[in-house]
Amino acid sequence: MIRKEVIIIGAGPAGMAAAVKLESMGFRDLLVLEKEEQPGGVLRQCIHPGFGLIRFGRNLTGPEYSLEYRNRMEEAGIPVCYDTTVLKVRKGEDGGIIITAAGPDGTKEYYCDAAILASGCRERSRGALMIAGTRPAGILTAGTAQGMMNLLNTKVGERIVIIGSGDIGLIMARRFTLEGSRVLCVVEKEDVCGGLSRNRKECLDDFGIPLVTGAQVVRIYGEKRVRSVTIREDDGLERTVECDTVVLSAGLIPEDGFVEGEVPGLFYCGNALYVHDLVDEVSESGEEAAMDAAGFLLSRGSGRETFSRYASEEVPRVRKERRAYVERRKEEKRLHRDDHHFITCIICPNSCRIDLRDLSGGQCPRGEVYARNEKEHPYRILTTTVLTEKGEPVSVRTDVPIPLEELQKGVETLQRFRVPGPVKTGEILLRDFICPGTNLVATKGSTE
Amino acid sequence: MIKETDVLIIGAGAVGCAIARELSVYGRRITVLEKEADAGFGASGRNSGVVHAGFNNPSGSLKAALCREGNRGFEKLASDLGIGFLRTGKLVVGNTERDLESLTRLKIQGERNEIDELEILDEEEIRRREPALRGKYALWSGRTGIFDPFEYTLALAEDAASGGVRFLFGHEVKSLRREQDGIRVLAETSAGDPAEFLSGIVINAAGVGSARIFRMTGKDTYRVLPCRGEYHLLEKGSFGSIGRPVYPVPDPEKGVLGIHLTPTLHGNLMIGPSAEFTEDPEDMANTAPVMEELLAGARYLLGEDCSFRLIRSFSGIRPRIVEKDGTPVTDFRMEEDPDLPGMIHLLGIESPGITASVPIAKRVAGMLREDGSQPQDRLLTERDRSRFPRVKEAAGGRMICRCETVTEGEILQAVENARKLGALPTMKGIKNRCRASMGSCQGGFCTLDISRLLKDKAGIPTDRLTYDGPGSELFTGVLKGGEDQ
Repeated sequence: MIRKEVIIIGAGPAGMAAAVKLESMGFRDLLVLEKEEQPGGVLRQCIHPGFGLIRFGRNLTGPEYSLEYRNRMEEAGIPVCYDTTVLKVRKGEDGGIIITAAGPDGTKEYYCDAAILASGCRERSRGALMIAGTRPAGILTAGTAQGMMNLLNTKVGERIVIIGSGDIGLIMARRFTLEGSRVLCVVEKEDVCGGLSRNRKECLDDFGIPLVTGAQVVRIYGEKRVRSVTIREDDGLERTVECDTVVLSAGLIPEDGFVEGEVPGLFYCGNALYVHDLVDEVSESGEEAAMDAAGFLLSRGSGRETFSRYASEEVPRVRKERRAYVERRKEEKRLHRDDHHFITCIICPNSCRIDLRDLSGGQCPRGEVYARNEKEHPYRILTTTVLTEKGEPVSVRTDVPIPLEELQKGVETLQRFRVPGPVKTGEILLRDFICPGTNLVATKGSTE
Repeated sequence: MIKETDVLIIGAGAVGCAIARELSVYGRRITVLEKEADAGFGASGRNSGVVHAGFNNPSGSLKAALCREGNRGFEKLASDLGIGFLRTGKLVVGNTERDLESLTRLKIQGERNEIDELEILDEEEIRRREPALRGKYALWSGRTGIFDPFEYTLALAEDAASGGVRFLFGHEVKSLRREQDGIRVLAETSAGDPAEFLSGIVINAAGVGSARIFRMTGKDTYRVLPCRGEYHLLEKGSFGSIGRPVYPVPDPEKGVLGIHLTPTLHGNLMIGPSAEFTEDPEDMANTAPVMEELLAGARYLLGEDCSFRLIRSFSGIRPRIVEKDGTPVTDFRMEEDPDLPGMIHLLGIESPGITASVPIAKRVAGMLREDGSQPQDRLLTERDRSRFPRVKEAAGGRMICRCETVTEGEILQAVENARKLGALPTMKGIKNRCRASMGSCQGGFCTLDISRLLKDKAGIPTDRLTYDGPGSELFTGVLKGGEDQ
């Protein structure tokens, strides 16, 4: 049995933030358990931008955001056990927590006084959606598709229908399109888009990908590989769309199935608590859970009751509140659904709604500039992958936005490009890429 | 080139593999042809996984006799094969006086079939054994059990291969012809190439394809009437207390056992199967009305207010056979073709076909021996099984599938076992052997890790990886630098 004061389960954006916070508060007897061979969690495959606007005031890609915390964690000297999968979390007899985890040297038990659950979430699978039809190859979740493309350099399909308009599905719609696959439509059963309006705009509208709301994929055809799907709209009208791939982005579920009941001293954060919209919020909840865990440890034995919304026993209530919030927000989206004259400024998190007709509505002048650019000549950061000479995919971005209409050309230019030698994070791979003065930068180094 | 063999078995389902294993002790050249990429991809892997007691089958039928024999021998068989088996008992539940009559009739039939441990239970006793269950009356069968049909079929196949049987997968039989020195069988490989065989004995164990093979002999005595059964698989721990199969009172009109609940050895619960006649014996789709019907069937047993956490729906086709005039073949038929000596057809091998698979194999072996005697079990019990280690024994390395706690070592052993059998390593074959991606995320997390592992350590390029054989490539190519790789 390995004894630690606090164990953090998961080294993603929530777990790393929690670990760094605990260390900064003077807790030194920490251990992070991570199932992968490196930190970052799902951010490792989220090569697109849009992260860190709140926390760092910069528009980062997933690997870049992850690196910020990885560096902090390493500077603080917090130990991490990689390749270690937690199988069970349960209450110990004397008030502590027992964690069972399978690592490189077999299955071990860990004992701690408090623990942070930062295990993220999983995607809803086809089985849970009750879609009729066959079970051929070519049906996969958006996250799997993202990992296969960005980490394993694999093309997942040519003609794709996306079920559900969750954010990962929208992000993948853009990625598929830029990489030469055709996204036929995104089918959403609700009457509003599930993902953020920013993603709806930059991932679907920018590329003319149709979002079919109030509709469901009711049947999948194909024996060996997907051949087509039947889409039924709310008015009962059905149509069949020929495709070879179905990508599911129809909900995320907190990953906490290995926790046995209520565990005093266990604090849930990030997407293991409930699914957040932004990674910045995920890290924030990690820090808050860390502070509450610290409070729990410091007040132990004093007879004082501490309250924390991250505590294991509060989880059902907090999730219920979150569901109510999501419903309220859906109502708001409904109100603005047909409002084509407005855009939401994404320069800062204030998210001002600006009228495209007279460019009014912003709280600061940047909103007006943003809206004018969006209206007249939109610019976007390009993110994609390139191969090293040894065939390893590494993620890259342009350091500044380039004209929207140049994105496709940018990706095509890089199709056969090979980076010579090992790549370091932040290294400039190409200068004057597409536009003069624009650099192509590696957002993640190669493993060599 | 014509390949010569002594015995040619068509079909690598439970029955084909059991026959191959049974015959392997004679030291003859035995070849199994299977159109799919691996063993157990047909009906053998698409059923409830129940070892039946034999009270459902008419007294005096082969089904009743062979099911009873299979049931009695299953502990020994499971221990010989090194596979899981749990004698859980089973409940057939009813609510009305009429149901009670039917249950009593079933019990009498069972007793006539010499099935012991049958008992009629009242409401209180039902509640005591299965608290989640609703029902006034039940027939209890203490002899019924559960097993893993994938594990079972593969273990039979591996055992046969250890005894020298040669398996050829991706070989679909196209025609049969009588020749001077045996029966000539023409097959087509999944690559589209012809493959010819000459064999003294040919055994048609093609399950749902058995009528098609039969018609290749030039007669139209039988045709297949595909009867599809759909299932839902529930997440582990659903209705946690259900520890044994629970059936409704069967509807004699339909000739099937009705939508029932079956726990798996791994802690899931299955709902199904339905029974619909379909046109196409290959159409293994799930349909919206039946998916609802299954849930209604489960609610009948568990109460109206329960909800279900589904992780997968699937279906299988019962190899139901009818005679030319439409008369259903209700019993197993095992017969040598009078016009084609050496050609043995196994027809109508549906439920309880898997329970009876080894007794069926023994009968077939008896048919092939002039004195009708059956082979010695001792030789099978003592068989050296070291060539195909159980995948669990290879556990080690990184945890790849979190839901089912499957490690790198087990996945690589699954690939190796598939290759040694002559099968193409596929995602489905790997799943059937070690359960990776069979859990509640259904591969959401581990598809990437499995793909990477297979590429790095098993020599399977990601763009060549298939779900269940050629044509079912999981991905459509490489993303960057495809041309020069």
